[in-house]
Amino acid sequence: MSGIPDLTALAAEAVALITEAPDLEALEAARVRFLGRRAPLTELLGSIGTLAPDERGRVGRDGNAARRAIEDALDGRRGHLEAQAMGAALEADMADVTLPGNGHALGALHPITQVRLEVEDIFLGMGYAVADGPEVETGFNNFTALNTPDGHPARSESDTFFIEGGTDVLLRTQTSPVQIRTMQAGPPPVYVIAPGTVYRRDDVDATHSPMFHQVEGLAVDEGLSFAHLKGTITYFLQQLLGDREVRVIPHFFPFTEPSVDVSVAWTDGHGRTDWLEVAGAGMVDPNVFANVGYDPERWTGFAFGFGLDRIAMVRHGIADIRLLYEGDLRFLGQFP
Amino acid sequence: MRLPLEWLRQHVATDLDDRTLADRLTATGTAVERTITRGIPVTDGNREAFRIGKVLTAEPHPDADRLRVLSVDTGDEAPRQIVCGAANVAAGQTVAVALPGAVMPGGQRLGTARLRGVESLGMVLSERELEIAEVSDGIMVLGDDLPAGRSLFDVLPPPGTVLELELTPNRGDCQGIYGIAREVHAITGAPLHALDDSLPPAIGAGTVGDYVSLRVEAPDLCPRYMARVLLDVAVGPSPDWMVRRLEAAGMRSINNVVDITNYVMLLTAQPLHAFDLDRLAGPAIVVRRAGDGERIVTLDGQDRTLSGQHLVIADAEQPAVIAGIFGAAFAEVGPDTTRVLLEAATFDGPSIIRTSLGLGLRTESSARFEKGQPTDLPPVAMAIACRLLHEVAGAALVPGVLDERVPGDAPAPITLRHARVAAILGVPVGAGESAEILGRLGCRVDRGDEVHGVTVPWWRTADLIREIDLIEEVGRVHGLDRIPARLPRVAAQASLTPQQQMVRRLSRYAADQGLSEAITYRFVPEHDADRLNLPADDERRRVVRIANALSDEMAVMRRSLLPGLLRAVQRNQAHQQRDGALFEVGRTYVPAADGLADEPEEITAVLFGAPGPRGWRQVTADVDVWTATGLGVALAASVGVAAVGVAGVREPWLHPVRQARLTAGGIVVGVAGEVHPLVLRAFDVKGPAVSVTLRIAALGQVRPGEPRRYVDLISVPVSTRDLAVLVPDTATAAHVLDIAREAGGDLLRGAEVFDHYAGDQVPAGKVSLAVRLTIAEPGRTLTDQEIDGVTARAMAALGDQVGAELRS
Repeated sequence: MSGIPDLTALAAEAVALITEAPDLEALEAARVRFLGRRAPLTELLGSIGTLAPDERGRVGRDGNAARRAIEDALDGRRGHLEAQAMGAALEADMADVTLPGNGHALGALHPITQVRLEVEDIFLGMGYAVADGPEVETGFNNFTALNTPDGHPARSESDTFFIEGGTDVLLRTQTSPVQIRTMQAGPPPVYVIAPGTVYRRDDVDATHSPMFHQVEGLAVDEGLSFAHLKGTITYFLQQLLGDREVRVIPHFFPFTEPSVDVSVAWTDGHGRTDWLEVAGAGMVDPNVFANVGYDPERWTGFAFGFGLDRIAMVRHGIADIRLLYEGDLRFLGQFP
Repeated sequence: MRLPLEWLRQHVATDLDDRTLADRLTATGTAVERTITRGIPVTDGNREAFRIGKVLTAEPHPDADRLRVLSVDTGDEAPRQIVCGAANVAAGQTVAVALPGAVMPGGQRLGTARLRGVESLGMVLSERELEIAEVSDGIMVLGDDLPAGRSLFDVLPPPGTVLELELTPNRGDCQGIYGIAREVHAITGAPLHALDDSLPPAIGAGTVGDYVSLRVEAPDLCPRYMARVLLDVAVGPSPDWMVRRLEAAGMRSINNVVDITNYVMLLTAQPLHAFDLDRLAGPAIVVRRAGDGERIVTLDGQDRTLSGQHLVIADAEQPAVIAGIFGAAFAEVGPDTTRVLLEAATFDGPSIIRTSLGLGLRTESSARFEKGQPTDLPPVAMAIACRLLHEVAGAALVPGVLDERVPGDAPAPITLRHARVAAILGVPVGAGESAEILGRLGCRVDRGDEVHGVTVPWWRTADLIREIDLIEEVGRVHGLDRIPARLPRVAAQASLTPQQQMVRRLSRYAADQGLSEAITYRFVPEHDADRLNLPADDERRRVVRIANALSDEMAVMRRSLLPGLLRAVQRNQAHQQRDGALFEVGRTYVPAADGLADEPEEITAVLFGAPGPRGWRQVTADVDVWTATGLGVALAASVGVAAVGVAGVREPWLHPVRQARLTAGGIVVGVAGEVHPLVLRAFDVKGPAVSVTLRIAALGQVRPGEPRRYVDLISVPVSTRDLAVLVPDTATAAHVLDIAREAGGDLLRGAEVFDHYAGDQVPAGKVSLAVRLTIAEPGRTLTDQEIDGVTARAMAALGDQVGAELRS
């Protein structure tokens, strides 16, 4: 074995070469040259036992230091070159991210259902239950008990659908009979809304449908007044339609007195603002209480009703009611 | 109802302008639907642009036979040239002229025109163009004393505002202009002029009984009948003022006698009828029910057949009027009439409605009688009409009146409690104010500190009967807008019922799976039962039938949601929508006793084509039976119901062997499968299409009521074992899994099929099923022996029961 090489110079040479290695291949060649089995440093460290005892310590120390320095340089350079290679590979793997991503199914609830759910939630928040009754209903519940006597034009065959095989059985023309059923079912206090499907014998055109949807509301308690009716309907309409002006003007319904028409200030698609009639309401007529066995001196209450179709239509700017009932996916898909 | 404000203001001296008055009427319940302005619009330039003109010369147009070229003095320095097409124009006439720049009643602005090459610097006007009359014959010719150049505004009646009112059915009293005048008095306090109901001098010879007799045979339908006779009637045109008011109110002028009956009806709400006395047999008036099959030729020339339901006013021989609705031609007043019998009567409202609906005849008269007129009204209207006949048509009233009246009770005073007013309205209204309001409405008020005693006027006895009716009036006139809005303190608490929550969840889940909710008509053609392939004796052919359906397409209430959805699919396919998914939640209608119905709810979904998300690297598959069963099971799972598909059911609207019943907890919750090709054809739908139906009530029945308990399969190992078995192709997957579950016992936590193969690699008549068994026990680690034991028991049972063998 010839003389001991200059370990410091060796390490410096190796580190310089490694740091300059252009790629992983050159780096591997450098590793083999400086740390491979036949590399001078490896051989030196393997032959320490043959050295003079007083040299062993120094050569061992310096040799290991040189090896660590080379290893560190190799690791550093390798990390750098690998990162570079990965970066290049990633760059090469370019994707057009503007292409559509994977599709996910999304259907829609019907606009009428969407309005109905909102209405239910507003009233649930106020403590009202959600009730319903049959659509094939008796003339008594639909009319008589609601203060609409026999012979009233609404009870004629031209206005109301009647059922074969029944005596004065009909398709309910309003959700109001649920008022009667609710009150017959138990004593006050009553706070209930009744969304549902109703029927009137109108020919189908852009603004009429023989089947449509209403929500009825009824509150019966001690001390309820017209002021409470006004407060309730105003709060509700502002929750549903936004903070807009609500107007009540006197009207007539057989089963409430006083009765009112309720309108909201509405701006149409052309920027014109006008009153839009959205609901009918009133204080429950004492005759109705008498018909269900409530004491009209003790209990007072109010009732209101409005059309879900109409609200869905004005809200979405739908001009033709027929669209609501055709199941056209081009229509339904617009209200996810 | 049309309300000319000029006419109204004659009776009530309100100083409110038209707009404010209209708003006040609306705010108190007499809704103003529309405001119409008649006549020349009042604009800055119109005073100058509408002028009196003198026709100086009228020469033929060189190129048009019907046109004349006029030279008209309109007060300017030089005469102007105007081309006119009216036949009655002539030199020397004083006429109404509109100059270029005039804004016409319709709103269009007049320019200079060139008619067949001749320039026209204005337009000579007709009464129709000025909106003074509905029709006119040529230009309007004015009096010669009017100077050229004067504004027409100084000469013509002022432009009139007409309000179109929507009256509520309880206010029969407002169907006359005087009724609205009373209302305006009540809501504004403006002075109301009393209606002059004095008779003209009775200068006719004899007494009424000398001319005609009266017999009321049906007093139940005719509470009051009054008749008077007038002689020397000169039938002719009505005066301009009357024609104008009639037209403003929407009626056409006929002759002075008919016009007076209409005029008085418009004023008082009391319809009147005038007969030519000389054409009445008898002469007699008999108020009676018609005979069955009795006929009448009404004024419109129609021959109508009557029955005992109909009330008629007859002479000694035949019906002369369908009472309160429409007259016969023969007894009408015509140009030759000189002696008139004038009727003022009241009729039973419901009877008028029935007759009017039955005969399809609704008239101005019947619309007013429908509400039931007060019996105090006829003498008022009668007097006004007699006076007008005297003044306008020179009639001589015969002394005396025929008057048959069913005596009625005088209205009892109503007690109005001040505390009750406050309780209903939510604000106190002072006793003084309520008395004032009711007084202005015509009530007699006996004032008190606690209560008022209120006697209502005769014209409000039909709708002011109870205390609450008075409270409404007080609130209405006091102003509902002045009542504050308060929210009640609701003592109740409420939440959705479990079923309501379930329906919400199902709908939301279906929508989130990509299905769109449809709402279809719940009345359907009866033929749907055939289209659904139902056998003749199928219970589901029993339907709730509509007696007066709009059409055969809407004849019965649906028993299934499927037909409505298939029609929607057909419409979608008709516009090239190849794929789609729809669902509907709603009721079906099962006939029950007494014509009523049970109304069970269901959710039905229909999928067609290959719906689902699709993109540049996503493909979708055509729907098939497993699309349907998978959706059905998932829908049920969304509400906590573990449903499985069971084979063997054969619903007629589905493919006979590609459908499954969905069951859970031993209860049938629905059915899913491919729609039968015959059904597709019947609904004109292109396949493939599948449907799923779940019954809401059944889901509710098996849905767990208690919260599900946690099972610890996390802190212990869970083992899986896969078995590949060959079974006969008659053994269904559900059956194989049932056997495995039963044999596996409690340690077997789950068994599912994860592969299915039939084909060349397995013997004929066999299928290969890959079954994964999940084996564990909460809280304990199982030994290999225990795990192998489960697998072995399952395999042995499968071998015993369906001849299964392990696939090598």
